Amino acid sequence: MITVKDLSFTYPGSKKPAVDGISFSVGKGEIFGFLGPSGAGKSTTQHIVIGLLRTYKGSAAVRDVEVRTCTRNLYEHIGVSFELPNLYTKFTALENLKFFSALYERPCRNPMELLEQVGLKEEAHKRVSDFSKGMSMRLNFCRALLHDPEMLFLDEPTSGLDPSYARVIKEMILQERDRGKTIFLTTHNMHTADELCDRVAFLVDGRIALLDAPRNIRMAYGSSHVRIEYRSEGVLHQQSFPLEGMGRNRDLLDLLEQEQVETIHSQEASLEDVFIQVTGRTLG
Amino acid sequence: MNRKRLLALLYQDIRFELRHGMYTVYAVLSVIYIFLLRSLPETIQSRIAVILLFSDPAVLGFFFIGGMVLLERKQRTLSALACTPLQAGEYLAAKSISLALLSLAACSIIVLAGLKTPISWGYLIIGVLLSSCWVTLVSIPFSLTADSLNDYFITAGGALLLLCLPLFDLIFSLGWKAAYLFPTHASILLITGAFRPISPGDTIYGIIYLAGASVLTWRWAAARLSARVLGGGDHED
Repeated sequence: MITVKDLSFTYPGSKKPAVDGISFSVGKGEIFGFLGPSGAGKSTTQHIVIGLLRTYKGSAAVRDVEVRTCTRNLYEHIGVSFELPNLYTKFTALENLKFFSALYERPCRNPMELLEQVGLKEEAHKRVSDFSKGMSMRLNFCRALLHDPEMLFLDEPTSGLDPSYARVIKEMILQERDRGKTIFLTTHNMHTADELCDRVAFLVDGRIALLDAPRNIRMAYGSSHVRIEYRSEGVLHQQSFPLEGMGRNRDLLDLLEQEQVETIHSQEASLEDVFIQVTGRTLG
Repeated sequence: MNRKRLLALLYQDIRFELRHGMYTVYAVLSVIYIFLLRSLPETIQSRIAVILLFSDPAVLGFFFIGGMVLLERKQRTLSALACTPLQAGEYLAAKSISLALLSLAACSIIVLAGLKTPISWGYLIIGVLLSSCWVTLVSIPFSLTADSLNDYFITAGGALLLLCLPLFDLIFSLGWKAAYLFPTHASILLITGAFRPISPGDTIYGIIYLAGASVLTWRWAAARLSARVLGGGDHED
């Protein structure tokens, strides 16, 4: 659905490219995460792929059509949710969704059903100016789904949401994936990426430092050990054992039999650990 | 141009103008203008009416489009519209038509309530609608780049002030022939035609010149909107 090859982009007046020769592809029914700190080039890449920046070098194709040659009909097929709310504040939630529905040729989803799904049914007739950021973000998300597009571009979709609504949005994203939708997710939240994405790319200074499935990354960069915390004579101890041959490890088996074990954790790395290890940067 | 999208956007723009108080502002201004005209002697009423209608209600698009686009930029709804199939032409048409209708309503009320003499409605309608559309289209590119409302009034206002030089010709009766080069002269002539007869040549010149200027300005505004907001992909399949 999305194919990017040797993509570069430099903003006018800047000497340093914001995106510097990146390549990746996203298949149908895949959630692809673009991860990196602020200024890494995530949003620039998204803006290129959704056709808002067309003076790029290299190739970016969506539905097998080069983006720089796409017509505005492209937006019948893609839904975009930006990091910040972009809604008519003097209009109600329902008025906003009804207006945007009218801009599409293809049949749109029922706005009230979408509002109900994100917990905004009771606020449907309330003006957006009275919404919190979290409520506005949920409404933004509804608007991206409104015309039931084949591809979704979501920039920090859980930003500003409390944990319960972040869970609702994540579930809806997974449902869309299960319906065969392609999802391009931009975030600096490694936990969200780990939960949702089939594959992730680490982006730093406009370049892809690593691209793989989150599990593969965690396993490849983690330690193949298990760490056990146990209490002996009232004092908490911890000890690590190699995963390989664990069932035959006499010391481990003795510990499990004789001591009061409190926790057992395999030591695969978190995505955040790997990001720091690979890029030397933190996410912020 | 898609008719369904244009009507949706036009309806949205009219409600946007209403909810941001633009109609209220103009209702108050119209009352002031009506009292002003009614207080004048009948001998100079129509002459002052031309100056007044041209310099404010007919070109209210200049005042309001800056506020509208800056509000859209502040609410980031322009970026939301950029990710829909909306065409630049539909956006420009909705803005121009909604403000032209407000201009026409304001001018009509002012004339009906402020003047006792009959007028030629054909000239008033054509003159006001074309003037309003042209001024709105001239102002849109400035509103897309202005950092603030003050910045907009300085840049767009400066440009419009130069384009309004023929107004001095009207006020001081200079008989300045070069005024015919300005689309604003065409506006003034057509609005004048509502109050006293003008020659067929001036009528044809006024309509064709103002319509032609609007088409050229439309192309410029569409190119600026497409490049700055819509990513340059503004063409039909």
